[in-house]
Amino acid sequence: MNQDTYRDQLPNVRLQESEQFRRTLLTMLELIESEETSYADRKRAVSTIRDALSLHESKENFGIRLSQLELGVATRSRAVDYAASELESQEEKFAEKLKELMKARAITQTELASRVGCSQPAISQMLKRQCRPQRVTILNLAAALDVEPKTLWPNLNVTDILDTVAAVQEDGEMGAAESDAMRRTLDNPPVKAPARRLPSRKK
Amino acid sequence: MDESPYQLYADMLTEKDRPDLAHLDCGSGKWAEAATEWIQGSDVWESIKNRGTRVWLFRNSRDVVVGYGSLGLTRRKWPPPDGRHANLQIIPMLGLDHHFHGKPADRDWRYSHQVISHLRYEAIDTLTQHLAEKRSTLPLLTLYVHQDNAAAIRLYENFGFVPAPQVKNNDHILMSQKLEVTGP
Repeated sequence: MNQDTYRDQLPNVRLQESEQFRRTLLTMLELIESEETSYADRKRAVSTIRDALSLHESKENFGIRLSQLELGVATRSRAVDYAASELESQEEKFAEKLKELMKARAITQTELASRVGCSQPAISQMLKRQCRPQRVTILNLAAALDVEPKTLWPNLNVTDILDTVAAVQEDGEMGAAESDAMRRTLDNPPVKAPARRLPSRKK
Repeated sequence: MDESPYQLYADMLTEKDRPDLAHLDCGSGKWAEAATEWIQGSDVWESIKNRGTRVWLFRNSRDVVVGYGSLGLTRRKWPPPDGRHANLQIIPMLGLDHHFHGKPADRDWRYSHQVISHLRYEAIDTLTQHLAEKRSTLPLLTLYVHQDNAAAIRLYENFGFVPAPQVKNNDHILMSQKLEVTGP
């Protein structure tokens, strides 16, 4: 993240209005800038700043008003949108980091693919963010580039879950436990819970 | 039901929505972070492209993105092990921005309830269409939820999903429900 740009924009969002408000923002900024801060905590800090700024409509309305929040009354400030877009997804960070490490080590896509045991197009797709690497691929890439896996992907637990979500969508055989569970559900009467199509904004 | 300021609106996710997704933050905890990552990364687009998954973005009346939900089809041999392939409806992923968790207080308009109710409607509608077209589709709606995500399990149970803790996939358990066919 370009911290200077971010900091430069903050005075434009009425930091002078409240000392407490200013202190909160600066604490959050320090968290964002610290090398020690995890990806998730950094994201939280940006979210806190975003909430504080977007809901700080006037001197009288300091802090978050849930009634407004639920209705989405908040407007976004440019400075905070900038910070949020800088912290988009772990996948984006991964692609940037992979590119950076390959450049630093002067490794081509073909060479890396050979070390990792995947195809060059697969590496290309990861770099272009057209597909997410599975956990095992991240571990192989980290080994090939001689870095810690979390250097490439801050939270590997997330990839575990995403791998599972991708796996359950695949066509396949049904195991005995799964088919037993399905049969039991099919033997039950249909569920009477609410089912309502929400209106469209576009229409 | 009367109009409410908490009414959500559902529209299919398109490429044009990408900038709005940058603000979506489903909260902390590994499954909440996975829900954020799924919609912000390439998983959602891969699912749409390769699996035909439908993904809706839910906004409130102020056009703020509250969350998203998805509905896909997978194919399983039914009855196992030698039956023909049948479609099985699955909710691959859904997520609410953390600002809107447990909101509003009025349960009739709770955002999570509106989202699941919408997905149930779409699943019933799909099943009805498939049956009319004589396509082989099981009258079931399924999902996998992390076994430690007690709040989500409770929510799904309130909507009629039955957990099958014996069916595990990487710490995720199967939940399923039988759908009611409403059409001819």
